[in-house]
Amino acid sequence: MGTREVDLGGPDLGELTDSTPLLENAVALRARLAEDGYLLLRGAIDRHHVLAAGAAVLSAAEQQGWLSSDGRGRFLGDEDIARSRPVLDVLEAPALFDLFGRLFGEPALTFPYKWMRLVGRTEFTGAHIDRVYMSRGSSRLTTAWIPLGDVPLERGPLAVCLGSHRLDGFDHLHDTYGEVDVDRDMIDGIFTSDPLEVTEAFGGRWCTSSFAAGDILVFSMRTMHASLSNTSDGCRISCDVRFQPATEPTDERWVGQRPVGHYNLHSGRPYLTVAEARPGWEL
Amino acid sequence: VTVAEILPTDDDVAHYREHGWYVSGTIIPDDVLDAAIEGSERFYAGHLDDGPETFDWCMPQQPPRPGLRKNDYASLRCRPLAALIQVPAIAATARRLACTDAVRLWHDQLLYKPPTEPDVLNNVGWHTDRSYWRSCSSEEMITAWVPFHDITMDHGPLMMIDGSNGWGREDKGKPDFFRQDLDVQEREIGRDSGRTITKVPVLLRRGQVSFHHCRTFHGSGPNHSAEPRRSLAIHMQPADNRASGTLGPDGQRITHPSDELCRWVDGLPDYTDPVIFPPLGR
Repeated sequence: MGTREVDLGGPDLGELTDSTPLLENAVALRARLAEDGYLLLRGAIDRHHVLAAGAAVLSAAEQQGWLSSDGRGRFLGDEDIARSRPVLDVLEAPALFDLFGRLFGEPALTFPYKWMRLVGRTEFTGAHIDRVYMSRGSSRLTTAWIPLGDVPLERGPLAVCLGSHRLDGFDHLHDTYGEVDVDRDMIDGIFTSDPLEVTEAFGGRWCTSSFAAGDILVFSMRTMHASLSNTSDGCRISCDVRFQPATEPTDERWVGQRPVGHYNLHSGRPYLTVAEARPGWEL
Repeated sequence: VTVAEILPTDDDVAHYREHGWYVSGTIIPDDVLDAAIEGSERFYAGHLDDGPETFDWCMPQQPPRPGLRKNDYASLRCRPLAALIQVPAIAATARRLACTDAVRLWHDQLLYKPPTEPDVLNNVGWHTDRSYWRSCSSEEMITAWVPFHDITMDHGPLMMIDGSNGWGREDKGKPDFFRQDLDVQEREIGRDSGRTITKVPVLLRRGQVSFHHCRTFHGSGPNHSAEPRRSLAIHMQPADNRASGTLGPDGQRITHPSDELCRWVDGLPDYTDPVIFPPLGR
C-alpha cells in the first residue's frame, strides 16, 4: 500500500466482507453500509457486459495511444469512451438503479459524469474521502467503484479503511479535512499517499479483496479509501460512479450535459496540498 | 397489497396483446394523486422544481390559455409528478404488458381538459403514439394514462379503438392528436384500414390506470362535466429501445424533441440517458 509492503490477513490489511447475500434485503443492506461504511457485492453487474466495456476502453486506449511504453495510466473521465455505449451499459445498468433505489428507499439518480481511470504499472490512488470532491448536494450521495475487468490483488484493487466513517478517532479528521471543498478551498483532496499512516494515527483497519468483472464496491462519502499499488504488467481499468436519491439536491459540478467538474482546483491556479493544510487543522 | 398481487395476469397480458389496452385495478395511492393535483396547480402557476431545461412550448402558459392544456416533460420539473411516475405498480404493470425486464420514462404529458365551452377546442384527435415516435427502435412502447380523479362518460374519457394495435402501420386515417373532428377521422380510419371501428371508452375509478400499446388508436371527446379533467400520460420505453437512426422520406434521420434534451452517444441521441429518461419503478 503506497510505498509500504503489507500482508493480506496480517494486522494492517484484512479481507473485505462479502455482502452479496444481502442484495435483496434493503434493511440489511442499509444496516451493513451504515456499520461497515462499504458493501462488497459480487456479480452485481452482468460479467459479459463488464468485459465488453473493458475491451472497448482498452481498444480506445490503443487507438488513442494512451498506453504509454513506461506503463503510466491516465484519467479518462473527460474522454468520449467514458460515455460510450458499452461503458454506459455497465455504469448505468438497471441492476445499479435497483440496488441504489433499494438502499435509498426511493428512486435513485446517477451523475452524468463518470470517473474512469487507467491505473498503470506501480501506480496507486492515495487515501482520501470522496466528500471533499462532491459535497454540495445530497448528503446521501454514495460511490460505486466498478472495475471493468478482473482485478486480482497485484493489479491494485481498491481498499477501504474499516470504521473510518464512524469511529471516534476520525471525528477531528472529518471536522477538518472532511469539511474541505476542493474547489472552494483550493486544497487538493488526497489525504496521504501513505495509507497506513491513517490507521496508525486515527484507527480502523484497511481491507481489500480481489475483484472479478461484475463485482462492485459501494461506499459512503465519509469512508476513507485508497488503492493497492498496481504491481502487475497491465493497466487496471475502473470507474467510479455516484448515485443519490433522485429528489435530493445535486452537486452542480457533476450534472448537466457538460459537467463543469473541478472548475477551480483544475483551473491552473495555485492550491495547497492536504499535507500543507494539515498543520492548520492540528491533524 | 404487494406489487405482485396487482400485476396483470397471463389472461390480462393476452388481452392487452390482442386488444391494445388494459385497465388496472386501483394501484395509485390517494395521497400520491392529491400531491399530483397540488403539484400540477403549482406548475400551472409557474413554479418549476429543479430539473433539466426542456422547451418553452412545454412550460405552463401565463395566464393559461382556454381549452386543452398539454405540458410535455412536466415530471422533470414537478416533484409530485416525478413521484407519481415512480409508483412501482405502474412500471411493474408496464413491464408485464410490454414483455420487458425494465422500463424507462420516454416522456410524459400533463393534461388538463376544462369543461367544454362554445368555440373552445379540447378534444384529443384519434392518433397512435407510435406515429409520433418513429425515431424509436421499439414497437413495444407503452403508455399509462393516470387520471387524478374518477373518470365518467361526462369527462370526455380516453377512448381506444379496440384491436387497432394489430392493424399494422400506424399512419392509417391521418393520426393527429390535435384534430377535433373525431367523427370524420373515424370514417377515415375505418376506410383506410378496412376495419370496423369499435370504440371503447375507458371509465376509471380514482387510482386506476389505463395502459395502451403505442400502435393503439386513441383519442377523447369534449368534457361535459362541471370540473376539469386532470391526468398525466406516462409514456414508457422498454429496456431495448434505442434511437433507430431510421431515415424519413426526405433522407433525413427521423427525430423526436427528446433528441434535443438528452445526451448523444455514438452519433445518435441516447434514449437511455437517465437524466431525461429515468428508470421507472426501480
